[in-house]
Amino acid sequence: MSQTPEFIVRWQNQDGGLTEGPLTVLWSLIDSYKVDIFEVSLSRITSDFIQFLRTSQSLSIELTSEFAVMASHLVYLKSKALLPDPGFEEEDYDPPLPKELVDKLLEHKKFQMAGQRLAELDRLTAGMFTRETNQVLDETEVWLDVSLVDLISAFNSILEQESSNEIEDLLPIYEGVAQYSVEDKMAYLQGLLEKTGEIHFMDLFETEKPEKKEIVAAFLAVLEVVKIRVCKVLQHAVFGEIKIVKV
Amino acid sequence: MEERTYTKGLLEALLFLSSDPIKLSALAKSAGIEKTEARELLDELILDYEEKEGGFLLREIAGGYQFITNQKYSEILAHIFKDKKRETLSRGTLDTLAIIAYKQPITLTELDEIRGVSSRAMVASLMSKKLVKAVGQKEVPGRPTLYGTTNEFLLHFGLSKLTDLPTPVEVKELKFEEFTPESIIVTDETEMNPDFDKSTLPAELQEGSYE
Repeated sequence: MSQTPEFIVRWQNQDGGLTEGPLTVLWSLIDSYKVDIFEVSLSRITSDFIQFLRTSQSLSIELTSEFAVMASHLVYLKSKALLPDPGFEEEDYDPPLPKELVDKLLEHKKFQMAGQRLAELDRLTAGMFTRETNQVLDETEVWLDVSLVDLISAFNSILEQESSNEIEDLLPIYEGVAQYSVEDKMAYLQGLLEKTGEIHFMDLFETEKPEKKEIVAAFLAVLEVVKIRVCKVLQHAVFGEIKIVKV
Repeated sequence: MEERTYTKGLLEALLFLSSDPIKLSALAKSAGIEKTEARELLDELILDYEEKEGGFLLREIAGGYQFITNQKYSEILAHIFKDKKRETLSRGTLDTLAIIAYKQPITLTELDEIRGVSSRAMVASLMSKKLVKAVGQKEVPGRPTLYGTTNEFLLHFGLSKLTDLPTPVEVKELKFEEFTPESIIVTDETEMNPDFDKSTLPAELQEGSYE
């Protein structure tokens, strides 16, 4: 009367993918013999392998068909090796593993070891971190529509560089006697745009260190040309510089 | 010389800003220099960081350049950033991956032959992790799918190109004492990536298909 086993260990994972097969078992047997693979006795490994299958069965370990195939293959090899060889008479001849099986085992071992190297690499790289920023450097540059806040702050940074702290009278701009008028600035901007198609922020000013009057005129002019849809203001996604381009 | 130092610094700044590897062409274009000059400067940068032996290095990886923490801090960083640490792959997965990496392009049958076991689920799982892809069909009857590794594979193992893989040792050259007997793992989860669309797998890997 056979007992129903309480548990079954499957030699495979949930997807039916095997990770360890008969070759691995053969290797653990060979390792336990402590002899070179070329000196392993075919009869010994065959009987040990079959013993392993029996043990697995009694432990309710469900092995896949590959194990049965390997066992029958071993028995076949053994019987082939035991066939009387003409001119070769010896009672207790103990054949070594045939070359084809040795090659297969060595190939398997080679990749087991390569897998081990990969495992080391995997462990190593799992602990190597990269920065987590999201500044993507694209093949093409990314320019975003500038916000009014950014535009004002750009002008503001220029204003702060401006040395004179006097509160200037801005009235002349509207009286037309000023050096810089918004209309002139607009004409200047449009002229530049016609020529080059785009103006970098610092090119808005005709002087190296612009005065407050010019800064204000330029600011109002930029707002004006954007309003009448002549051009738009863009900001570089990475570097934050501002440029004015023709629409 | 001044110009050169400036450009080298600019490349360094660009690399510092990016978390993903940047291709040589993109770096050269952004800095407004020829690729050959860019490569020269980048090689110098790599050396600079290596000589400094600091906390991070510049790496050439999967055809691009990227800053990465120095491997000598691998253990401790993995411990500190437990939540960010990448899961390591299982041994069975790695053995299969090793065979595909060295023998590519390779068919499922050839793979099974070397492993001595069915690798169908393993390959499907590797494909779901984007480490392996179908690279064509073998011109033999039945035209079986050929498998190879992906760019993701290079990134995962921090390699710049396939030839950077450690060369597999010829086992025959080793004495048997050097073989490390490994304990047999009884179970192994070949986990599929849950967001992966299984219908994109080659038919031979689909569930319920017969070899």
